[in-house]
Amino acid sequence: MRRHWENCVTHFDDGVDQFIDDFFSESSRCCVLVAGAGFDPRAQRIARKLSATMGDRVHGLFIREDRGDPAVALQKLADENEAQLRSVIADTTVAHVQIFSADDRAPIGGHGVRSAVDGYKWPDDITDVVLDMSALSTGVGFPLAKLLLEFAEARPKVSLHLMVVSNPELDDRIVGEPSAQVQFVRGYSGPSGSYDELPVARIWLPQLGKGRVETLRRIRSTLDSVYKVCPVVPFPARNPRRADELLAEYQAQLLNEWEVDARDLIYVSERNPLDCYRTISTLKKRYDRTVEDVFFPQIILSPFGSKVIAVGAMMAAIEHDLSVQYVETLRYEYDPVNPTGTPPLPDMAVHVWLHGPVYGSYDAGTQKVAS
Amino acid sequence: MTNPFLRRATEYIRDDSAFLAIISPEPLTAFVAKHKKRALLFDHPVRVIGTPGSGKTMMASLVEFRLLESILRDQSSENNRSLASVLASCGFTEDERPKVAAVRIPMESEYRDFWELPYEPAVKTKLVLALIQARTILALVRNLTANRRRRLNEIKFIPREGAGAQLEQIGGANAEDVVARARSVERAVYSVGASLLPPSLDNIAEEAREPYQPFEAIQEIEIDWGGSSCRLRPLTILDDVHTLHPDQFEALFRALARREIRFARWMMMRMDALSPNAVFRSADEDALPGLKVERDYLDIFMQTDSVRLDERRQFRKMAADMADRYLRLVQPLRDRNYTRFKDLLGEEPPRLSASQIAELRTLIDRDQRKLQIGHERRRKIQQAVERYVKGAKSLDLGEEVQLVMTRVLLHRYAIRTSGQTGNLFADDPEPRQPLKVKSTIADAARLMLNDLFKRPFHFGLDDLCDASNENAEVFLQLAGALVERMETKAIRNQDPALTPAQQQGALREKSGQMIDAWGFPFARKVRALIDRIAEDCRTVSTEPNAPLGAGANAVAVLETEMKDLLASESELALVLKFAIAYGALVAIRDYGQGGKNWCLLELSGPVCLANGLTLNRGGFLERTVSDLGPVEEKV
Amino acid sequence: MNDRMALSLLAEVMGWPEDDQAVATREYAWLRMMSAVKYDGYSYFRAGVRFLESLATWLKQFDPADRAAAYDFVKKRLVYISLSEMQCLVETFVPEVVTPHLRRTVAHQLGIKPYEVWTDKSGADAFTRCLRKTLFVGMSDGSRIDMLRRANAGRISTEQVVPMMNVDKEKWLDLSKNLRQAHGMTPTEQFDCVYLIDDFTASGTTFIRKNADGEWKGKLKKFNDLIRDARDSVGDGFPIAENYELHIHHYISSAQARSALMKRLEIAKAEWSEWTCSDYTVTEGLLLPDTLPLARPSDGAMLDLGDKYYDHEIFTRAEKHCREAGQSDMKLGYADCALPIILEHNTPNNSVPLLWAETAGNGGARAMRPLFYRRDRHGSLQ
Repeated sequence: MRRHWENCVTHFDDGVDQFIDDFFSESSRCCVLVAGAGFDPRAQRIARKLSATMGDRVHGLFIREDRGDPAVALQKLADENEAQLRSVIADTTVAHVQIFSADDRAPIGGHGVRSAVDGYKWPDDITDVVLDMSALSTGVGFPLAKLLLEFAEARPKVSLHLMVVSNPELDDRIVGEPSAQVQFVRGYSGPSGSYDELPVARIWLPQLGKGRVETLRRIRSTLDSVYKVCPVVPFPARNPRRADELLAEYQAQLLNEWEVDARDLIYVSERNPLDCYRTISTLKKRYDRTVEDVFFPQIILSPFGSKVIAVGAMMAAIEHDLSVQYVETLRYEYDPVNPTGTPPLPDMAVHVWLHGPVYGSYDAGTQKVAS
Repeated sequence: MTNPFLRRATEYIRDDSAFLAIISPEPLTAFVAKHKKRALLFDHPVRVIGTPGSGKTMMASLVEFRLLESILRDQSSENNRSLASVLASCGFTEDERPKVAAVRIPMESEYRDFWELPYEPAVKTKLVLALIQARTILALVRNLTANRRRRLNEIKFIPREGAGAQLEQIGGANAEDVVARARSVERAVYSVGASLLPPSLDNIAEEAREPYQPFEAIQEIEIDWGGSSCRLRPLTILDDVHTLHPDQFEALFRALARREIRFARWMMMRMDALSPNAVFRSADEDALPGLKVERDYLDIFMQTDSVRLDERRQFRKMAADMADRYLRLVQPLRDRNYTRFKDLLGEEPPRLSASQIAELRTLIDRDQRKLQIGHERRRKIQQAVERYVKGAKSLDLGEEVQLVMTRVLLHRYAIRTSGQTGNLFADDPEPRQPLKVKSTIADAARLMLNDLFKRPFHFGLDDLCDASNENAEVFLQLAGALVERMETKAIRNQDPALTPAQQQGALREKSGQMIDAWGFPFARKVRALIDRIAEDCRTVSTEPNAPLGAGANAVAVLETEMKDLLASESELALVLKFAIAYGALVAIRDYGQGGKNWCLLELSGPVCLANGLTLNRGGFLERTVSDLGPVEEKV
Repeated sequence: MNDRMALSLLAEVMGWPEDDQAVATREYAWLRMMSAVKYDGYSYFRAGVRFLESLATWLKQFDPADRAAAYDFVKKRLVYISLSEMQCLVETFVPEVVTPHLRRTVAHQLGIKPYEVWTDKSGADAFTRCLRKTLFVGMSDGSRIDMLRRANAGRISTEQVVPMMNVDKEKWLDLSKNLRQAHGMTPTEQFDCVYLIDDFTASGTTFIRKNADGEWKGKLKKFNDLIRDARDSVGDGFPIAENYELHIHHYISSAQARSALMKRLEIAKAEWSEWTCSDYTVTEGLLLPDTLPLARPSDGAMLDLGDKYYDHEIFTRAEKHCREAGQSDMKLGYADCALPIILEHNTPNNSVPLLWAETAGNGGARAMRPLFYRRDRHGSLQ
């Protein structure tokens, strides 16, 4: 039980920088930053900030996701990013993770993550691991988070921090070409429900993302015994119409294909991953109670769209052993031209302190109301 | 109110009665009942191969024991009676008693994931085999006890002669023990495969390491049926085996091809699971070295290689049947007593307005002058057209069609007489090759009328079926778009039947959306290639002399060139592979024409709909491989 | 299929082409989806007249040529906060606003960092105490105190939540007694922290304003007076500390309101002789972007409709109120906010009146028809 997750210490936007200044400036801190060295324009922000605060007390483990057929322009962006990261953090290891098998192009990135972490030599005096999810894909970032959490939870002095720099409007302009295969994220297959004694009853939580209609349709078509579909949409969001726009994009699915009951829409904050975490946790508790002894309950998450929300879903999946189904991206395309013509909104940053000695007495603080 | 056409067919599987109401047994009839080795389909391993959406999963779901039992038990509805007779013709039942206990095991990516574990291939294969077998047993028992018809202890597993040792491993002959053992194997193996950090070999749970071979141990299952004992042949249908790694599939296939196995086993796969060669249906390929098709295993191709015309006829029948079943679920249409989908698709030939006809006449007069053809010759041609029309069956041969047919023939005449230095005084020479009026010219005329005046070209149930490429999923999507418009008309208090113009509008829009939504690998490159081919086909199809008759919807490359391309590892081969696997193109190998052997790449139905191309088959443009690639990206 | 009538009517009103039915088909799908997911939940819709019927009636008031612009506005600009969305804002309030604040408070008390509060037992205990010593006060029906309680069952006691501002002496004593008897509290314990909770602010005026005569008005003034009077009448048993912290939280706030509140509070703190709290903060669950109000050129078509179909009666009805906000007409809604916003339980008058205004059309003016009925503060439908 990670009770503190519903109330994790979090920081936002400028608060993240302030936190890094405040916390990581202590000379006793020794940190490994684990992050993606991809084309994503946000790959560098956290690294630069940590390096400016910590100098050589921060070490880098950067994951380069090799997709086999990246758009040339993005390949160049990624190379530049990697070179920059190497210059920002002196002690840097770059681990290449093959996302697709050379034999049959099956998505195998999750296995590569295992090797990348296995092969890394951790500094002896490590106190903190920062996982920057900004430029990591679901298929790599999720297993990585789980491995790093296990690493930190096995060491009483080590803290694990999640950081995400996100920009929903910018994310909309990163187009992924989906691979053919629907699959579980490595380490997130949940319990094997289909062959249990009780018949399985699934709730599917697709997180609606722009331009992902076909991908989500494909995932839905592989699931049977789906008792309910509860789409996850961003609200509160900085664009208050964002959820409505997504619903309009998915109207055919909501109305005709998935038969979504209007009351089953799940609104979660676009800014704070813990909102999604808490919401799914509550749903899980209620659902388990509802179907007890009659069905084998299974909740399946499919995170697309907002990375912040996806991180919340990931936490829920780790804590409650839920399944995460997704479709790997064959390659990305990033359209640097802003279609709306409006000036870009600033990046949003979030820090979630996932684990560490700071929660030593969380449970001791009687969270219950004293009656 | 939801539109049942727009839900994926598989969605209905959740609810058996709803599923039975919409499922069409046609694929079973076409591919199983008529299989030339039908009697052996439960003895040999079988590969079932089809494109995505060709109804594989539907077919597998329909024969699962749970549904088979529901069908047999309730023979009150006409629907169930027709399903039952198909099941009987496939050998699943006999004298209204079940003969086969089938289960469908979806091969999700978790099986492929085993191949990435840090163990020897033999260990990985053993684990996957154990998982498949355990799950088959559990699914069988669940199917046999579904509908609350019998309890677990009323199921008997009958072992194969001399399978004593294997019987021990599966938990004995007692069904409860067999299930308990299967469950413990399933959990143990699953947890090995799903772990983020796999255990070392010695740390794998015993349940997952011990030998476990129910496929070799079990020969039959005995249950009670209507008061007497009934023996069933167990059948496991592994759906989507193409997700496996090729080496993994080979190992699994070899294991399942062992002759002592009495368990029937079918493996369903998608086209793109095969090498590009196999997607293109090269006939000279065996699945694996040492295993011969028809000796060691059988194939069911869910797109028959028989005459394609026959295929179309067959699909029209199946699709119409399916559409009528779905229609019953659309309330506003049912309320108006529409029970046949065909009745809602008006086929009355569209008519041009008087001013358009005048415009058309002007155009032809101008062409006639330009081509320097005399009035007498034009009159002869018009008469020939009129004679043709009198004897033709088609209803769509009105004034505008005749006019354009005349125009085609004028142009053909001009070409055939050009450069003829005949009698200098005869200004109306006879062409060397006499002009013939054919149905393809009428077809071309309709396409051109669509091009010139937007006169509806694609409409009616036959066009809808033909545009679906024998693919149920595509058919339902297109039909669903039409149903949406019908509902709109019903809401607006109009007769919901659609005019040809309304049908064409809906079909074009929907096809465009389907193409835009393509999300398979290399989709953008495929789109760019398709656009180029479609544009070329359109250009040729609208040339005034209709050089390719009804028009073109394909390009063709010499078979020898195609063979070389497929043997290469080039990107173009991959692009073509995905284009075919996902229904953007259809490949026809070894197409003989003009003394040459071609590989035809035919645009799929939705692409033809979106681009106003003919659905008639056979009109193609000659190309070389280098014409096709490299494929530019369409951004 | 009970929406057929309304859909058919809408197609007529909008004049969607009958030949290919493409537009009607597309719009029907969207209308059905949005009605089901959101609009039909509006609290003043009744059986038989829900969103689709209201939309058809509403569109009919415009000349046919103007209807496309009105429909387009509904489709692309309207921001409707549904019950589920509101609930989301209520649920995030304690974990995302209150908890971090209390962590800072405790850290300050113990001389540690806010993130160290749960490191050992002393911090954790202090946090629990601090939370219990926080009072939550609802400012209107929109405060959704019932939801707030449910969302925080087990975290917050019902004895630290006041659903309404009208608190009598008995209630104060009761709150006090419960607090002092709670686990680990002293016999003189008081609330250190008060959260005033309201659903929506667009201009900040309802909360705090100065009228033309220089008088301070609004909910905060009322609350301040209430505390002052109660402190006198209840005496020792009064549960709120002398130098309590005041936190003003709106579930939804416009950018304009936020800065107005901050400005006015600063002035009020200086001017009010009876300013009862020590420190104050202003927070919100959803901050509406400053690009949300209708503005030319992008919203020109809709703003033109607002001018063309305007009945000045809506101004005269609330003239005093409007003049205080410095308005001479009501074309853009109260305080000229020009918002396109609807809340599921009511429509704020800061939204463009075309959405909510209903008039008889006297004196040759056009009668205005609402898309979403609005109840004013006195409970009558506008």
